[in-house]
Amino acid sequence: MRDSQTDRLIRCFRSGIEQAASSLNRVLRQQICIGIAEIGAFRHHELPVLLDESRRERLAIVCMPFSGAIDGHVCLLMPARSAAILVGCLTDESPADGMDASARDTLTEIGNIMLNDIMTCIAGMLDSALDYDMPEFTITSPAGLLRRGHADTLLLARARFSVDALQLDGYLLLCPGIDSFDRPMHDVGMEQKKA
Amino acid sequence: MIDPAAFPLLDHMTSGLLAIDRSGCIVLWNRQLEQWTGRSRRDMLGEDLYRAYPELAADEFRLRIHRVFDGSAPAIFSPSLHHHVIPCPTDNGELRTQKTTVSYLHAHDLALFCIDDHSEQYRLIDKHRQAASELEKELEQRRQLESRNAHLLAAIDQAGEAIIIIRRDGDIEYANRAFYHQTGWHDTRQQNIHVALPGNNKFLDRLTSVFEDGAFWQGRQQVRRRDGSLFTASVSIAPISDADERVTHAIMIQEDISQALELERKIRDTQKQEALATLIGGIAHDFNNILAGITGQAYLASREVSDLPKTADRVRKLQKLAQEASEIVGQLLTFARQGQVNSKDMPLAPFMKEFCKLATRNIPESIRLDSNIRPGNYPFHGDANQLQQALYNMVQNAVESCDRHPDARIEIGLAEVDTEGSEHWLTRYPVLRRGRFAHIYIRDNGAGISEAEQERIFDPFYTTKQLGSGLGLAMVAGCVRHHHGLIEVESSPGNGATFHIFLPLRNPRKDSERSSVSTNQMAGVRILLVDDDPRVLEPTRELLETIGHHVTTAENGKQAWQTFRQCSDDWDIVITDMVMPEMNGLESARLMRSLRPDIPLIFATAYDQSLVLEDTRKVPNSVLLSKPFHPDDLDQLIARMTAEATPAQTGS
Repeated sequence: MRDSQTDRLIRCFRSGIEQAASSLNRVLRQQICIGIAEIGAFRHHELPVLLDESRRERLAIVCMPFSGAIDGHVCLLMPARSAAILVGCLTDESPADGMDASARDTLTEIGNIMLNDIMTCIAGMLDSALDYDMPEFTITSPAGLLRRGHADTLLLARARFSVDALQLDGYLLLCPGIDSFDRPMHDVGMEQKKA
Repeated sequence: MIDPAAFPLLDHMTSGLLAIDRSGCIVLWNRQLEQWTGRSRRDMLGEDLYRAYPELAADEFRLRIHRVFDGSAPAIFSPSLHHHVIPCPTDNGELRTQKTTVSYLHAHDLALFCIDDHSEQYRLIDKHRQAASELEKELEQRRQLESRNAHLLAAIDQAGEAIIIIRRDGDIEYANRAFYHQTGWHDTRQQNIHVALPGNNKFLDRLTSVFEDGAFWQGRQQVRRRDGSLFTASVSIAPISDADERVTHAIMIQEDISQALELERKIRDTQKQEALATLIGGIAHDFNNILAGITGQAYLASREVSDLPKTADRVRKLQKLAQEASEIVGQLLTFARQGQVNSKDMPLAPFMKEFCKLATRNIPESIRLDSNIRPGNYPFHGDANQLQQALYNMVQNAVESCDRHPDARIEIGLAEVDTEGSEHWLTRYPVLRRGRFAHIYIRDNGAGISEAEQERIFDPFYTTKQLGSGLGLAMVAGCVRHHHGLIEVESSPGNGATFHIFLPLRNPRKDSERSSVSTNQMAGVRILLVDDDPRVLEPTRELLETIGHHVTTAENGKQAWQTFRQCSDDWDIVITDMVMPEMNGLESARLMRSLRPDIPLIFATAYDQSLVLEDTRKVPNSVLLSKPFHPDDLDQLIARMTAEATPAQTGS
């Protein structure tokens, strides 16, 4: 992957993150802080280390697979405690770590909104329609996160977000499949040339 | 429009399905939705979704629905945030809880709404949450209750009173720490009260009555400890009834009041002794004045009849009898704490060793005397003569008590007790103050003393002997009280007796011993003699003049001051009574000192020295002297004071 491609992807991802934060801001009416968006190729077992602040806690994950010009996943990942706070804020119910079905549905919708924002930007960059599966909600440990991966190496764009007033935080992740990346990125490069 | 006939399965699905085109026109409305909404397919097809359901025109729905047409990912509307997208009432009128997803159908360029009924699932979730919330509340209440119970139990366990809960069958269900402490039992749980408190029959009878009558009982009770000893307790027993008002348990609260009773007894005893002391002190004062007169007159008579041997012998006998009478009065004054005091700093250990040697020489050989003097300095401030006399009286009593015993023994002991460091002594002797004490004990294995006798043993004139004066132990008690100590007797008939004396110890003084001042008799001293009692004044004047002194008399302090102020340099010394009408001795002495700061003063008193000692101590170059005084002693004192008089010298 060329640097120019990386820059283009990270800009789109960053743009998507901003849109997602904006949507979350509309829902919560709280200031959202976004960390620096990063992209890189990582070994699968490095994933928990990358998300170091969540290593010791159970994680609530809303993950939406997509396919088309590129395949991959886009995920909202939050420590279970933060997820419970977020759900509690949205539904006026006292936060609980348990995340029952109602809470899962709520978080899935929020994840759906935020992930759609990111994917809209990515699809716009690719100038290609993508197919999406329904977002899936899971609760897992960092170790469980490791078990989910099949590929040894993954390309990962990540950005941390937080709502300081509510003391909650999480990550937005984009994991495009490396194998399916060459063609679309070539197109992107062509588009840049045209521009 | 989508022809349902082309997709028959759509009408058999349990989800509600509808589809709209880009303009919002409804093109699919399946049977489930017909059933849920009560709106027929015929009515809904071709209808504008946002007109049929105006609330969906809001941005939060419309924008997200239309992004689906732009190739965005499916939109999800969760039950918690939206409850429903298409209102679908149930039979009871409530709206179904729905989860709705909107996805894009590429082939038809339509947005497909898939509506799932989650009512039952959410009803269960609500029920579960409610149950969890109630459970949490219940757990919190239980935690609070347990915490409160724990506090209550801790308070009961730490209470000073013994608290036990007894079942009807007599088994102890609970006993707190104080109960174990009071009774000496370590763990009585599951034990029967009859086993835990054997020999407390009266108490157990009362407990039975409480169970039978259901009535509260309160009173004093002798309670037997595990080791068999008894103590007096204030006890209350209350019944505890169940819902059927049957008495199932009894709660007993027991306070050990033996110390309080002992204290009460001591206070009563002290009050009695104080009253006796006041009475005896008053009588002894009058006797002393008379004896002072007799002694003086006898002294003068003896000088006048030196050429009449028979008369001179009678006068000497008269003087001896007066001396004996004086000693008896002295003992009475000691009891009344009004005796002559010659206190000084002294270590008690050598004193006690010497006393033991003296006592060994003065007891019959048939009696063995052991001494147990623990090593130590025992710094003490007191009157050695008085203390020796007191101890001797006690040893004499011990000898008389055990002299018929085949293996008669007396033990004299001395040890140090620090009540600051040990509660043991304060528990045993509640009236003992905190501090360091010399514990002197005299133990015999004689006949012992009954409880009734122990009550009166220290009273003056109380005696069990045919020839006893009844003043021996009274004098001992007075001596101990005078030294701010405590005396206790421990005895029972047939088991001998132990007298315990506790004397307060003091910090050793560096200048504990003053060097004695040598005195030289001298005559021709100019004396101002003041006393309101002519029975004392006249003989004293005569005897001082006989010695060779020049004496001017005054009958009270006021007269003395008037005489003195006329020419204050005319006197070498003033001898004055303390208690007089119009102006007392101390007041007139202060006035005289204002004119003659160097004038030596002798304060003579027939009262308790301790009452005036503090006052006279503040007067420099003064001496406090008890009446009656021996003429030679007085003469020596006059000689010493006039010879050594300096303004800075402090009186003793």
